[in-house]
Amino acid sequence: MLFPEPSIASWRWATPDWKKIVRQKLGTLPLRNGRRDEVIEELAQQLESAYEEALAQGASEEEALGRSLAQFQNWEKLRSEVFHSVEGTRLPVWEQTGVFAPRRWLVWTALGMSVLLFTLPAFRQAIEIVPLPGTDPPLLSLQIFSDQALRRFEQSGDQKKYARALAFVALHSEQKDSLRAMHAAEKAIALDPQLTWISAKVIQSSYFAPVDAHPWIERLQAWDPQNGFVYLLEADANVHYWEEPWAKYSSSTKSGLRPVLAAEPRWRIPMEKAFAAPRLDFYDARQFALDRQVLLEQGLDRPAMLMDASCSQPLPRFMTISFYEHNWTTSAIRPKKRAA
Amino acid sequence: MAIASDRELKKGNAELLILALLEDKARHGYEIGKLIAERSEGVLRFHVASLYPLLYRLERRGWVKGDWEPAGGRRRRYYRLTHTGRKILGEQRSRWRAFSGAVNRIVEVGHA
Repeated sequence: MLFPEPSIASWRWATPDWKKIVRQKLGTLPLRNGRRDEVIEELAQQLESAYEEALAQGASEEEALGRSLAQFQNWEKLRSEVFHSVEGTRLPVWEQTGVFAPRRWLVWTALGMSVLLFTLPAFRQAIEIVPLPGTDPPLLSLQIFSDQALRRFEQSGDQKKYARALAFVALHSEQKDSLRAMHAAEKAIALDPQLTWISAKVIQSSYFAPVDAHPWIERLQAWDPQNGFVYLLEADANVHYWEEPWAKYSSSTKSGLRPVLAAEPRWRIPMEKAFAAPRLDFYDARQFALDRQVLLEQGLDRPAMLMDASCSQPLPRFMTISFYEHNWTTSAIRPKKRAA
Repeated sequence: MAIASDRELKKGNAELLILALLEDKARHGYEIGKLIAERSEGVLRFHVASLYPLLYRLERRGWVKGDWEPAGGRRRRYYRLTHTGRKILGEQRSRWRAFSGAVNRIVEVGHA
């Protein structure tokens, strides 16, 4: 026979080395006067006794081992408490092995780098300028820049009589702050009439505020009469199709709203002017240039910030444009005939 | 609610339980844990991870003294009460009796 039969002695080799287990689990335990070895031996005996008791109750070796080790679930806490109890002082920080223990260099490196980020002016500005989730404005709002940042821009624009900073505030204020947007736009245009195009944004904001958009429309049309966009804005301002009496038609799909709009001269006439205009300019290039300049002055002319800023670009209502285009191409704009 | 109350009770009186178990004879840690569960008929169950730090704390205060002694072919660390520990046990037991007596007089009055 090449291999001897297993003996009682070989069985005992399979018994866990309890001291080794405890030593590994506890790690370094800087107790004085040999107390560390005594603690390890005592805890090993606790594990061994529980193991033997479980075996005596009929548990398998694996089950017994599991039950025994389950007595000590948080070894780091035990290590800390044993040290505190024996020495009467807290475990030194350099001996701690918790997530934030000094020896966790990766955690501390990450924390250090995070702190370092806050020393960078650009990072601090970005934190300040972008609204944080859960703060004002609401998370689902389209506002890109925080109220605090916009207030700072406006104050700076007022002090320096800097029209572009005020125009930036007008363009990027949230709809609920349409009065602030209008106020900032008034000041910006008064300082620099070449910024009259920002009226397009103010006109759109006025749809949801108790403000008459028509003086703004007239001013914009006088400044840029060849641009079809200003007439599209007028049509939108004249007919809020999401309000009564139009809302009941909008719920009945395009086929319901389309002929009703075609029969409304306050919508149809500006749409005719828009389609007859020699050019169409949504002022996106002007806004991009303004955003970039103002953000550059704030040290924030980064692609992501510029892309975010473009979210507040004024656009006409494409659904109604498609209505007009459909009516026009099918020669369906015959309101008098339909009424007859 | 009941579990939380039990926890509070055990936390406040853990020292008393250990001192009382060591009054008559020296015992090792495993035995102390088993005795608490057995004598309380399972109502009190001392978490082992808390038992040893508590024993070491009592030893540092000088209320108990631990010594290695042979037991069943190996050596075990037995804890026994010191003179100070016996005095503390007397004080804590008096306080406990006064407290539990007062509670009993209130709680049991309706069943008398």
